[in-house]
Amino acid sequence: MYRYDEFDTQFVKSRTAQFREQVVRRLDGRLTEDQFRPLRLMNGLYLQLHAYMLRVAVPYGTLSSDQLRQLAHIGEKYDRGYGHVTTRQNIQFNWPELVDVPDILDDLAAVEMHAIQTSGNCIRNVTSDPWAGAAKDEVEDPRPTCELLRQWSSLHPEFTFLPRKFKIAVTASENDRAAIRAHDIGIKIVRNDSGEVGYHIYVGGGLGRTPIIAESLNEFVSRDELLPYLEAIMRVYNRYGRRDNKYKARIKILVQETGIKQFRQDVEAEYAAMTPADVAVGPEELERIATYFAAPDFEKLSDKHEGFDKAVILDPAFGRWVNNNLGQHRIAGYTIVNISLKPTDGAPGDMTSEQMRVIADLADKYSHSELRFTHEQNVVLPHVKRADCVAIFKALAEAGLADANIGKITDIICCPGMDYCALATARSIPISQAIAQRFADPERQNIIGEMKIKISGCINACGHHHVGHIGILGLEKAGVEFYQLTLGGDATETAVVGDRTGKGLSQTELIDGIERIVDFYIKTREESERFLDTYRRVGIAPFKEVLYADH
Amino acid sequence: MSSLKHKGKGPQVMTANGLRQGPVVYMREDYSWSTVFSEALQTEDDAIITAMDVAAQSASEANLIVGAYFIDIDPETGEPARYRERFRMNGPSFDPGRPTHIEHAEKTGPIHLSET
Amino acid sequence: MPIINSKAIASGQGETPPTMDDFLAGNEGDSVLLPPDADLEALAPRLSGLKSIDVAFPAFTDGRGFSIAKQLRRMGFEGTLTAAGPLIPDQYVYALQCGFDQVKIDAETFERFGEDDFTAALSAFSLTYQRGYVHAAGPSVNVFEARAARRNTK
Repeated sequence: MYRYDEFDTQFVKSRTAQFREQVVRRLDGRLTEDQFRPLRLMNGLYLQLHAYMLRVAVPYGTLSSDQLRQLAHIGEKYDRGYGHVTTRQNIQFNWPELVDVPDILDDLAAVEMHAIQTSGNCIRNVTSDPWAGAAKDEVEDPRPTCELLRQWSSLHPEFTFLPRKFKIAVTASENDRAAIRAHDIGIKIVRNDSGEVGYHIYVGGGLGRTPIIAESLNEFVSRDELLPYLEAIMRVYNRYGRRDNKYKARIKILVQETGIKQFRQDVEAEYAAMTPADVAVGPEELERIATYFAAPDFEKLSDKHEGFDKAVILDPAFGRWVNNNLGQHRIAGYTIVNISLKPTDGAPGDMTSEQMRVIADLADKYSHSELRFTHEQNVVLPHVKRADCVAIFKALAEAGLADANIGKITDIICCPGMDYCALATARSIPISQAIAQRFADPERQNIIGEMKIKISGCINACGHHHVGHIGILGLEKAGVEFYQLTLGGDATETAVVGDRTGKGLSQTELIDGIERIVDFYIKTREESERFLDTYRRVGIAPFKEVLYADH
Repeated sequence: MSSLKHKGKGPQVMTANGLRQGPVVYMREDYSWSTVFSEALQTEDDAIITAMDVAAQSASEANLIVGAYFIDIDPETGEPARYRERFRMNGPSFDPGRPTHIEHAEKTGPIHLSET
Repeated sequence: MPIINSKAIASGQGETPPTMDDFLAGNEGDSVLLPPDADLEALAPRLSGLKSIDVAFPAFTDGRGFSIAKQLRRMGFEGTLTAAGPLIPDQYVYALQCGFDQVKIDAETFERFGEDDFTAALSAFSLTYQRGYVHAAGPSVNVFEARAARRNTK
């Protein structure tokens, strides 16, 4: 994974010194809160419901075991001993104090981490496929491109005061595990007919109040055109994105209001007026970055391993974990281990400092010291020998990290909600728990199969509920929480926004209703249809009927 | 920073977050601030409310607190009327297997902020 | 309003140039004040006659002026470019990097920060990642170019 050179190190050092100075100026009043707010947001520091919240950047979700250990240390020293993995592959701490944040940033810098631009009206963390470098189905590892974009977007003098936040995601597979079409810019790395690698650019996706799936802007941008082309998009957005209404300020609104054809013309006109060679970065730079992502030395192994194969049969818990939590690795004898942060009685996506250390140790021992955070709020050990899985499972089980529910109904994406977030309208975590408890039986989960429930505690949709197979939006009226459902959403390459069922429900009605939906699906499905497939076949009407059956 | 279009109903309490550490605080009778809700000044008296407003502006300019605003109190319960404010008072409803917000607050003790 | 530029700190009252509408309506004058949504194509025919352009920043959160500066320089404008509005010290550097010569700060913001804060902001960073944005007074080294230079000397 990427290692800072002296320039990167100096850059982060300058940034932490700058923020330390800004905190001093805030505390002595030279900066008002209005002036300080955008500055602290651009260093990932929010003021939430109960306390400050610090969002640490985890570029494209990749981190080393040492970095995870440092996060564990930060959680203990400055916070309440845990962190929360977000839907953009970052990690958040809920209880830091402003006066400590400069020290926290120094501790992060010591392990080549930072909190730059994890909030604010600027370009945010560039996210990617959590299986990058390990998956069978990618054109190439998307992360060198992500790292290039990370550097390019860091403290961009022209694009730091955009109309609104700006999110970019990159995948290199036809199977989109990075939800690129829910992003302001989504990039798919592709090969053209001549075998040349380039970028398919999508623009104008986003969830929130107005969920929109990104449209195709340019099917093939070559390597050296990428940065100038993105600069052209950003300049058009910076100049013409709406600034009159916060809820209409994303690029998706500009694309909708302009129309994709005209928007494309505007971008190309801007590109034509630029001198791309003045913006582009030579291929040697991407090559230099790519050397850091060279695959580890894989051993020549077989997929058959006696210990592993025996344990699958003899230990049903291990067998379930193997069936649900392992992803197919491109190298024989290896596997991708997905660690669930969704225990039945936990807050989805949370890890204690102790758990972080367990995972860090496992990464060191079994995964070349590398791990990933996923946008589904779980953790990945990307390069694990099948032979080591029994030992890993045992260690995970002892740490409460062995839930065999990846992609299942209890693997819920859930925002922090009203329990933590100043923007929330309702709680989300108790809903997630209630669903997890209702469907706790692992056998039942396997029978249900792939089911992606996503919960947002407000209309800002940080839980990505619009693209959940079942999406839940928490609202409140007169002090009473109620929940609206969407069905049939999809965050993958077949991306679509879910359909609203209509009337909101109380928590009890919601859980019962979801159970009826699930049971109806099981009764109705044909062959190996997933929930999403059955929904697409039969439509919303019969599901609505069972959902509201007791009304 | 203006906090005050006081169009609240019923008894009012002034709340904010402490600047340095970030906790939820409530204005007390002597215009200092406390993390303990039961110490909060509750009043319907317009003159006092105006004075609270002035004190909040002052505390904000003194870089003590941020984001001060009035909240309505339910006269029957003596607690915040608005749903969201009850969360700010009680902390997260969910803190699995680790000390709850209340337990934390009890352990660290109340935090008091004043300009002097 | 106080003017701050990297060559000489001057806190004098700057004059406000004519608005773009007034400027285009007439056919003389060598200075203009552009709004953040200025149509630069409309300005283009008169660009060569301009010695000084102010670009309005209505709020420090409104970053449109940075792109306008970039585009004006690309269009060949070589006169004095001034960012006018409540920019904070950190934005002073961005303004220079985008092609402005100076910033014209409103009195309230200037009083709050003072000259020193603006000058100090110049030295916060010596590096910039984005090509085309170096500035001698601020981030004077482009990281990608520095790396390339290093490779070429090997």
